[in-house]
Amino acid sequence: MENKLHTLSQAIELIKEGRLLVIAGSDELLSQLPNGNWIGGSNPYLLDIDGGKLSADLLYLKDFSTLAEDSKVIIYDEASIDRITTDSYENGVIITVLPFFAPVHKAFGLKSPEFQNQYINPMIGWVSGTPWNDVGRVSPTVYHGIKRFTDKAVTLHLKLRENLVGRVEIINAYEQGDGDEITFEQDGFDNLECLVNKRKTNIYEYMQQRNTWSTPFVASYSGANINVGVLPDNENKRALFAAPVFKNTIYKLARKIDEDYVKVFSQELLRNKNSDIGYSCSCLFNYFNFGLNGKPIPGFTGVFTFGEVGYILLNVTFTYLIIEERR
Amino acid sequence: MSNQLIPPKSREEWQKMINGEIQHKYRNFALQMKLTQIRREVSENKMTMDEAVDSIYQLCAKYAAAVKGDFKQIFISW
Repeated sequence: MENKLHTLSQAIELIKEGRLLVIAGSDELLSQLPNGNWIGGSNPYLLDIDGGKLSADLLYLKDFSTLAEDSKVIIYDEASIDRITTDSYENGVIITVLPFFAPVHKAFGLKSPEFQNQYINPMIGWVSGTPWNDVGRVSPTVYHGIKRFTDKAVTLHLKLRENLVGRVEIINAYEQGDGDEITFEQDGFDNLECLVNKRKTNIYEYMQQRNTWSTPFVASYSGANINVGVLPDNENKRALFAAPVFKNTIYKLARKIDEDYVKVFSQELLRNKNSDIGYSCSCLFNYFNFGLNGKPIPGFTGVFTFGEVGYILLNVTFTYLIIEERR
Repeated sequence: MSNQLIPPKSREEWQKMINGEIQHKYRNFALQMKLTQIRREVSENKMTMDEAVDSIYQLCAKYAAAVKGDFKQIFISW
């Protein structure tokens, strides 16, 4: 399948061929697709060969037909999402799509670090959304064929051939800045207060005073920079997190490694230059913060999402799946 | 160097990776995430050190090729 975005009629044709697909695009397009061997979710911000775009006409399809020796789709809610890792094949890959701010999204965010068998098989995926102006007004959707949900995680489990092994890596164009140490007294998505240099502080006021809402918090996980996007709820004068914060973790406001996203991206990608990238997605914050509308990332098409899954729930990150020969 | 893909579980470096005595900038994302999680669980007494070593060893056995660069610096030889 060509590395390009697809029209509705092209997508319908591929579904009718029986391809095993993961599809992203506007809900209006997804709702017109036929039943078949596919999962997907609403996300109209796409990366085309000529750059990022908000598209009502195109879909991003990834075909896993030749990669999988076997596959199964399982639908999870907030009570069952912790089975996502134990349901995986022994040599499996887990691809999941969750609707933004649905209970299953929050449950995944909070519990996924402690899932049984977590990190053994690669887990990648993304959070579905809406056009930015519709956030909070229109529910994001996920699909398994013609079954449409606003409150479930749809998950494609792939069984890899024995000679293959998969892993997930990330590219983060941010690192911890030199500023305040920010910690939290409890895990959560909507904490009202944090400790800034050990002093209790209202998060909304802290971000508002600095006019820094587009800047994520960053924590270091044994060398990996893990971001948390912070959104203003101006009506209620509170901050909302697009991924959870955790207690006993030190966060700092981020700084960009470089203003040129494509440069950072290309340099980081060199670390895995000999490996085959099986799937990828990038955060919508990257689309906005680095001005990727109309700016291509050579060699890539894809989707800009409302959160990424790289084992756990991530924000403001490019997440990719590598499939390589077992050595 | 032996023909084992990763160092034996008995090597003390495994425990030092977990308790932070070995400060290393890990490259493999799954290893970075797993180490962070088991350090948290050991510090909260949800996991013993032996269980933590078993857990990290299991992960590294699967990703032997991907962690080789890190392990050459940490374990030098095995």
